[in-house]
Amino acid sequence: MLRPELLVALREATPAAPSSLYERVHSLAVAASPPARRRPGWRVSLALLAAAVASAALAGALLLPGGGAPTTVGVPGHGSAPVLPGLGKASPALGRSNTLAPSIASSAAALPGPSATRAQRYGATLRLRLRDGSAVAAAAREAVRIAQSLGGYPETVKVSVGAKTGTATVVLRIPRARVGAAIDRLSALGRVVGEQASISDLQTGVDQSGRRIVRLERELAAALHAPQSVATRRLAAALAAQIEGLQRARAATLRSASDATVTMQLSTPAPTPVHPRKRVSHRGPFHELGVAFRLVGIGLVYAFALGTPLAALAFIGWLAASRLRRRRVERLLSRS
Amino acid sequence: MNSVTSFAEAAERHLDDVYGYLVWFSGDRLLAEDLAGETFERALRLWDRYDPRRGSERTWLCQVARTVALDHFRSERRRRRREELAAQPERTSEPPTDGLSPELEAAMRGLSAGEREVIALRVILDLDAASAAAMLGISPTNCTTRLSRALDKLEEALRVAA
Repeated sequence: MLRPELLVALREATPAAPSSLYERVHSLAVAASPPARRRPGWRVSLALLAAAVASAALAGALLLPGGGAPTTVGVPGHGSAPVLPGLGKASPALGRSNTLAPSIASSAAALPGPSATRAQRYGATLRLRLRDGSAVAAAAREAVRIAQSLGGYPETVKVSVGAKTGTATVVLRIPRARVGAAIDRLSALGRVVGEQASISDLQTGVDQSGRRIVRLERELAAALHAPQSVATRRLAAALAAQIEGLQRARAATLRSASDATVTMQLSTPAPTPVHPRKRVSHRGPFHELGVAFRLVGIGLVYAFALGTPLAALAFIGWLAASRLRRRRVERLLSRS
Repeated sequence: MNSVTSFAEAAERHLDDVYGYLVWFSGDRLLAEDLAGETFERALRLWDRYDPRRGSERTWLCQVARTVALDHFRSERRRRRREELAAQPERTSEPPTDGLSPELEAAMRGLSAGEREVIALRVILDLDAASAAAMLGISPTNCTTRLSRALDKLEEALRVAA
């Protein structure tokens, strides 16, 4: 028998399944309950895993400290400044070359002003940030000039500048009536990073001192109109000296209250940190998300480094097992 | 697709193929009938795992049938070993020869199960070399070589019988 004839004979001799087998299989299908729901494929599992990882990363970014919100750029010195009523009004733009940026908040109106009718000791402190040392020196000079133009004078001027950095402390005495205008002009010299005001009322002391002087003057007049004796003359001299001292002190108090003290602290920004990694600025809202993804990446690298040898071993084992299984099957079939 | 109805349709459509494959594979019609029944029971349990993208229903059912047959061969070998230790092995009944000529039947019995299987897959079921090789776990070239040798052996047996 030739091979083509053999193949035809083999195909024609293919046995058909007996009817009993048909009935058995048919009864199987009829009696069977609906199979269990198909398990999700690897694509669905992978999608679910990816969604879980993304959710975890997002949750981590939102729940980590500072995550999800822009980190506030710290302004040195501003945090220690007391919160003043009305702080937040922008200062007028100067367009001067020595200013860094528009002031965050500054104006005389932002500070409580001195009273026009009562004797008060008024003090204000302005902390200004300038671009470099030369700007600090120029601002100190300008502050002195402003004080003098308003009828005041510099009480203390301390300037220490370098090429890029510098600090200056300028204490100015300004007539109380013009302190508002002075603060307005002084605030415009740089970027205001802090301001503080202090008011001490002196009027009560002045009034008491005035009443005491009046009483002593009455006593002095009575002593002078009384029959003169050594004792009365001594009393009158003592009263006169006391009155003179009180008047001198009262005049000094009123004189000191007539001028306000404005202290200006001028400085340049803190030097840039050597390690950019330590900078906290320029962190966007997705910074923590980036950190989370970086951690996930590190984990993946570790998993890859540890998993690759294990996977290779597993693959080799699987290969050997499958070859062994195939040989066993071959041996089994060759004997059957 | 994966429902009892579709399984019933697939079983009815490919029952002859699976049965014919098992007849050739086992060389025993009665055994093939039992194995076919067991095959469809197992296939019904595994029907939700069947993926049409990975192969046809017929190929998948034949793979299940092959697993069932191999399990049977293994258990049969263990049983024979036990019987060889205890007593003479029980002779199996001669397979019915309806459909095959006596010469072909005799020649077929001279083949091993592996040789009969490759003939069943490539000639009876008319699977291509790639599908048959995938079922057997060998390369297509190896599958073709194995088929050629099996047919040579069958031809030689028929020539001797003639």
